[in-house]
Amino acid sequence: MSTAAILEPGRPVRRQRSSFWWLAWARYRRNKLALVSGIIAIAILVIALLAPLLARYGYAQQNLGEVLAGPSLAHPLGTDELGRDMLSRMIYGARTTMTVALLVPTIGTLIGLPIGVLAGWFGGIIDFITLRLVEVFTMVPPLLLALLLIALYGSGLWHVILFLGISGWIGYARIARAQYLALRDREFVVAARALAVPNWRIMFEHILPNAAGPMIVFFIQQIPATIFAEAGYSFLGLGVQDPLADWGKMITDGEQYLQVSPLVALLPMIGIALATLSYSFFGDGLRDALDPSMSR
Amino acid sequence: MAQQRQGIREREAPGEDAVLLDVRGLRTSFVLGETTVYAVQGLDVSVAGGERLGVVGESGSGKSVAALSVMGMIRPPGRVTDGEVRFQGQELRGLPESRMRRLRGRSMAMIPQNPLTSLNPVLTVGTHFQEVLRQHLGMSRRAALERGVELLRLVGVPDPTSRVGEYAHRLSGGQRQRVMIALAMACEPRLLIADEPTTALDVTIQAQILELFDGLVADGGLGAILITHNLGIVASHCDRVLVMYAGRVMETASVRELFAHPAHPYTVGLLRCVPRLSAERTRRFHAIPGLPPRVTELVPGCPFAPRCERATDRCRQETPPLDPLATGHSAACWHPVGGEA
Repeated sequence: MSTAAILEPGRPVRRQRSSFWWLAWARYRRNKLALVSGIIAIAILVIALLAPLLARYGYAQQNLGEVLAGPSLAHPLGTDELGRDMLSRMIYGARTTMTVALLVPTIGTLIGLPIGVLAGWFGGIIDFITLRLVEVFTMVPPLLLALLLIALYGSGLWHVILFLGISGWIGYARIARAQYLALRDREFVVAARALAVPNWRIMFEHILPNAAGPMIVFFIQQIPATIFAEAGYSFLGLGVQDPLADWGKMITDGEQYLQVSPLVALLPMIGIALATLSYSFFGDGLRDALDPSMSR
Repeated sequence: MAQQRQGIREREAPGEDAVLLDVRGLRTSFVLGETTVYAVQGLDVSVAGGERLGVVGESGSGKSVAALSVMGMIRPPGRVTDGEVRFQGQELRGLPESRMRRLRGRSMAMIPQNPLTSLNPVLTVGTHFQEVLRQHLGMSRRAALERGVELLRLVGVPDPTSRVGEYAHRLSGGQRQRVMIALAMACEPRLLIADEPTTALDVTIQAQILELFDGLVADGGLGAILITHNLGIVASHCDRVLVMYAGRVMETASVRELFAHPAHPYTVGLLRCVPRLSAERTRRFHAIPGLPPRVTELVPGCPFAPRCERATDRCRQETPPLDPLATGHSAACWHPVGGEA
């Protein structure tokens, strides 16, 4: 009681930020590679969001008088085989890439998370059925499944997103299930049950934030894989269709002119490499920062 | 059985309605694939208002499972298979979950074992209070937060107004346990089950927490069950003791009686395990040989027989019933220490 009296009047000591996320940020900050990658990753995202403002030309705006031109003031990165401004196409390409890269894991999460949560929390027969379902889907490589769906229903940006998303749900379901399985018998959950906190509150307010770390990390780690997969489909002509700008397709198109104007194929390659690597390191950094077993 | 019930009834002298919790023949088992673990095998226990019952036993003796069974919190693959749990005269077994939910945390509360991990790391202390108070008493968020501060002050958490906004890892172990106690007491329950409330705390904090516990029981007139393996705590903070072994009650008596005249060889062994400063240096620290069994088969015989010095063939063949020896003192043993029953 006396200590309370001492501590009470206007504490001069500044309150430290101490939430879980604040500590995670403190850990993340110290990983320079992750920090730089994070900045690049976010920069790509911002460029994608602001594409119409940043690009001087439209992605389909042709100028057949200036085909495969080198860098100039009007076209800082030159033009492609149809005289389209490479810089503008790179910017719009980032937009296509990021749309796919974010929507595919989102669809995977939307399907996988509820399934995993139900399996992990309720266990028993629900868990059994889910696991068998996961096993069946594991037999089919996700990229092959997406390929099959594309072959059946046709290509195009939205189809690629949908099919890649659907075929990738297992990973999210597995992680969510594992998290809920591990967390549902933790003492704070038992304590919450002892106080009759309703099940849905325990599932979503108590466990979900605790399970969020690995889920977010997995989400971000899926981004580079998705970028790569989408670029691959577009490279093969199964993904994004003309005239939409896409890095994967730009490589295919530019490949033929590699000896005349290497920049046309090289730039999208750099774009893909940069995006893939930055999101990989970003994800790794996040994984380490969100790992609760690592202290400051 | 009838005789044994008689014995237990007798010691709850002040009228039937004083009995808060009355458990008869409670059995809980866990089915794990091919094996079944019989965690609790016929538990008889009763707690009156204002009474502090200590439940002692080694790890795995079924103490915590018994507590969870009473609270109706056994989850599959576990199941309460038999017995009655009467709380304030109402049979709890078979009550729908929605009804149990109204009792749990409100009329009967539990302080979980490990305060260090019993608070959700991503929620603030205040959020924990809000959840409970809104759920049971329908308070507004604001009112719940204010009540939370009040409760924290009551359990002696310094600077409660700022503590209520903190996350668990910013609090010390003792403070976290105080928060857990405050949470358990939030809706002024009639029965408080404390599952080894002090195991993770250092000794000075243990004493403070137990004093707080005593105060709450004395002021509120609530019945309390203190699960522990520390006989020292039982001696100074309980009125009655129940010794559990392998899911069974071995002996039950008032604290004074049990420490003065332990009847069951297991109890004697437990008491001999307590190190004493007065003992000569040369005497070796006593330990009960062997390990407590993991009960996967229901075989007749005393579960303690393999480790018991006094065991005879009868002990290995017939299960001893919990028989009264004196008023308020019963032991499940064929050969009780200190004369025959």
